Amino acid sequence: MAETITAAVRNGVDTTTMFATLDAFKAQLEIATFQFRARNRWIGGAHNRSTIRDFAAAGGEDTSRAHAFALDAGEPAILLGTDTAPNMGSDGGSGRRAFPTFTTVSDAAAGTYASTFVGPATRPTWATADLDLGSSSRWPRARSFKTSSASPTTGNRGTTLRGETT
Amino acid sequence: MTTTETRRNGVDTVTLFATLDAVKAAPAAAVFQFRASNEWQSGTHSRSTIHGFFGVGEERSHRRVFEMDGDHPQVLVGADNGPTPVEYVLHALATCLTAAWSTSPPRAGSRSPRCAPR
Repeated sequence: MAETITAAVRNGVDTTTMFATLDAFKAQLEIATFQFRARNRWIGGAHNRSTIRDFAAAGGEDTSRAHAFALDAGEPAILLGTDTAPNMGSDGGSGRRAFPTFTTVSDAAAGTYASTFVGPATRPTWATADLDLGSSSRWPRARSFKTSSASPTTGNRGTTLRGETT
Repeated sequence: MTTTETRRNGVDTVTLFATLDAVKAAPAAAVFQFRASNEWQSGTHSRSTIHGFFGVGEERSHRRVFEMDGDHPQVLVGADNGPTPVEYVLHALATCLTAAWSTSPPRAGSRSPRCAPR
């Protein structure tokens, strides 16, 4: 039943660093506050591009990313696009308090539109989550896995994630 | 106001209005289902594949398969092979808003898109 963990790296995860991170978050919850951001610029029609690079972590700006991630979005032809990228359908209807703020820039003369989305300052719920790394070694072979997390502030179980692996 | 242009902001407005009329006449055609499959790579690194979707009464597919990697940055014990899930959500919200702007001017009958910075 109890599994002895000997390897420091499991499933590609440096468990020593992970447990050290979890301990650090537990000891000092304020450093577990993260804020992520995405900037989006209109290119033409339904085609637009997000750039993602900077974020705030562990009490300061994180500068570990040498390059920005660029993500294109569009619509398929049936929805009037040219299918330059996936549709990014989203449901923003839940959790108003968690809704990101955004700023917009519109220069109609130059034909440019851009927006910057800034996520709410959040703490990773897995700071106090029930993580069972012993069973995580079975994920790649399991048909499905489930993990639950608890709110660091209230202790209430709030999130259940389900995923399928093949 | 007489509209003579058929393309505005890169949007085919004739097809846009025809689509709006078709959806009004047959609301069932507006039912869409999008999907993403995700496969674990290593550690916190995984890859989503997006291709097939359902729309206008039948199964369809994008003109190519889109692949997107997700990961954690180093400070969250990842290798930063891609944006975090939270950043993908922000990306989704931002792209939806930007696309809405680009298609709203012809509907509003105005050449200059307007938005309200906050």
